Amino acid sequence: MRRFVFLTVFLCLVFVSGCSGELKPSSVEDVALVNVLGIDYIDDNRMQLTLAVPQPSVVGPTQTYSTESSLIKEGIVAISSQADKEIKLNGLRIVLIDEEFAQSGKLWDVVEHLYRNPVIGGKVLIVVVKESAKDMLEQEYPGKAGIVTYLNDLLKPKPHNMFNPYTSIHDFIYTQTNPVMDTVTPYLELKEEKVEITGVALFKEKRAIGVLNREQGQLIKILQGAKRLPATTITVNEEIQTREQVVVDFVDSDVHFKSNKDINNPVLDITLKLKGTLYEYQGDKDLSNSDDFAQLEKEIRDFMHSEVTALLADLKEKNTDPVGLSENFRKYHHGRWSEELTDKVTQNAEYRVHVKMQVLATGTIR
Amino acid sequence: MDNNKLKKLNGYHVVFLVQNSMIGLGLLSLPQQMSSMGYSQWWLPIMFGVIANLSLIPMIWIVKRYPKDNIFTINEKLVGKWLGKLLNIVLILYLILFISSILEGYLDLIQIVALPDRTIITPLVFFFSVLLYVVHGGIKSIARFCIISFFLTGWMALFLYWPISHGDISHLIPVSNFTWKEFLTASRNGYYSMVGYELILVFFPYIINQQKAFRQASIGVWITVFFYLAVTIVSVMYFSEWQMTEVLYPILKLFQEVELSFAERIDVMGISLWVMLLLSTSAAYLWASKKGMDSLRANNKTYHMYIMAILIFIFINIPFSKEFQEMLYDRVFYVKFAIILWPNILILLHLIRSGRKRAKS
Repeated sequence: MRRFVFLTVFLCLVFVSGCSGELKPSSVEDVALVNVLGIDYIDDNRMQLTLAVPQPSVVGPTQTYSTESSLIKEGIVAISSQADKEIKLNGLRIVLIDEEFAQSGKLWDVVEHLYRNPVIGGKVLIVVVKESAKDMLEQEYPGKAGIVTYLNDLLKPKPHNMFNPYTSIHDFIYTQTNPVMDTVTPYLELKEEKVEITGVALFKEKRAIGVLNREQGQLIKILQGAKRLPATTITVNEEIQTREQVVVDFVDSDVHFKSNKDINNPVLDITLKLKGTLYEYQGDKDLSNSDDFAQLEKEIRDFMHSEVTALLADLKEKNTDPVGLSENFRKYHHGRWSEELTDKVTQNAEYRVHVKMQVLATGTIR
Repeated sequence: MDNNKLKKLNGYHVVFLVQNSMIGLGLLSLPQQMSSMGYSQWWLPIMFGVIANLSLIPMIWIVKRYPKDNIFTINEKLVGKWLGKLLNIVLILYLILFISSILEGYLDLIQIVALPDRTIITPLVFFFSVLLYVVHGGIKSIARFCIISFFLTGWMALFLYWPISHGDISHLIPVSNFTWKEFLTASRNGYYSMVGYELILVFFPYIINQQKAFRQASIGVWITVFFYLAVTIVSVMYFSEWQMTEVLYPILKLFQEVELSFAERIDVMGISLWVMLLLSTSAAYLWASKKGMDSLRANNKTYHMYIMAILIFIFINIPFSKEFQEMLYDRVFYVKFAIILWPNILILLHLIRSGRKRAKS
């Protein structure tokens, strides 16, 4: 008898629970899962919000909705009244921000809102676009499966675009709130019917202050400790007669920092250990000759040295530090570390760059 | 079966009972609780482990003197019948409050993360059905449940690999970058997650090899410390100090970093699996409160457990204001602290009593 009662109650609980109206979830057909969110600057209080929703291939490539609002949630509610489906952010992957909005310093509020929202995953990428995010989302791309798939594929980590910082919501919040670091994000440009990652957007505290090119983006990745980097073209000698060009694929890199622990007279030794293979070489050197080979290694080393030194000087001038160089002083400092201390260290720091370069192979012919 | 035997807990049971009654809701927010110390918080779990281990000594000492009694009976024997009963009532109220606080915290989290568009009453009913089922089987059933929930959830520590590879190990130094005030705040808030091992005061009579109970309970404590230490170190590496203070459930964000080709949103899965840890913790506490009720009414009845469960259910559903709730759950801490120190008082009373006895004889 007890077993019968138990079984009845159990079966009722299992099967009848499906009849509860409250438990009825939205079916997939009734939901518009937003994949890309675009934000454009209108004025200090308003922004243009554009949502891109992927469609089943029979309906069309991508559906976009756009509205003006002052808050993200307000915009989504407004868009819900023009959309035929329930708008949900659960599938969000990319947030496109126009450059003006990034410069306005309001990006923090938007990302913080997304970070707070538990339905949004931590892997959502923050990307700055040159002109308008709305235009980028609404543009037609012949030969592409739609902007959502196109952008997702474009921003996927690939060996040849490892200069891209792939800034997720977590990375953005982390770098914004970590006093030793400034934020960098990928920077996209709409070029005719193509989207291109042309560089890296650079922030100082909450505002975007400039754009670095791909090579500089790559150097930042090296300094941040990235192991594998894309092939880089190195011009060894600028003069036309003696000009040499090398394409090096950095198969392994290692960076080591050593600070003098003194925030009043900061000195930082940066040692880069690079290992690479030669892809392509244009010049007069005979690579099978060990002297020529050693000379080329030295030239590549000098080139990297000057590039890193120039980048560090540029960052110092812009008073920003996406690498987190002042962490090497913070870790020896007692008491709270602040943005002011970071500025003090990075502005007064003497950087001593040491590069060790080893060319591992030169291909299968002499 | 050994239902009629009093002693039924073997060594493994003791280890996992202690360990699983400690890990519950506390771990989810542990790095945030200790955030006043900033990056220097990572070694605190080791200190907690030492304190927990030291405070286990008087607990085991006193219960070894009364190998067939639990804390409720010992209270009555040492403090006096009526004062003892009064203390036991306070203890039972504390247990009810404690279970309510962790269940409410977890259900709030589940509502936010996994079931945002539903009310929480249905999951609560299901939770209680399983909870009662586990507690119904007695302490051995709870101990077995603790073992299974350890193996079902312990492997999730592997998910820490992703945040480790993303984090910065240099955050771990300097080790002593804090003031005394920050240290005390972090210790007070963090130790909240350590409690649970004091339940050995209730289940000690059921342990088969009572001589080895201290060692087994210590192993349980240090398994917990291992998990706490791992989570705290990884959080320190992965977050900025601002994030450590502001992010309420750091583990949720750590799980979000996981990248698997065949599954998304590991955080939702992880938080849902966490129910095993919550069930084992609250089952041990519910069983302890049932034992308290048994000793109050001087008989052993199954319906005591249902009364306790109903009281907890009602308590969770009373719409107290958030401030009142927070104040109440905050005050529970002092009761916990008192319970951990209480065995020292009992030892004193025991020594006085046995001294008197000796003088008489």
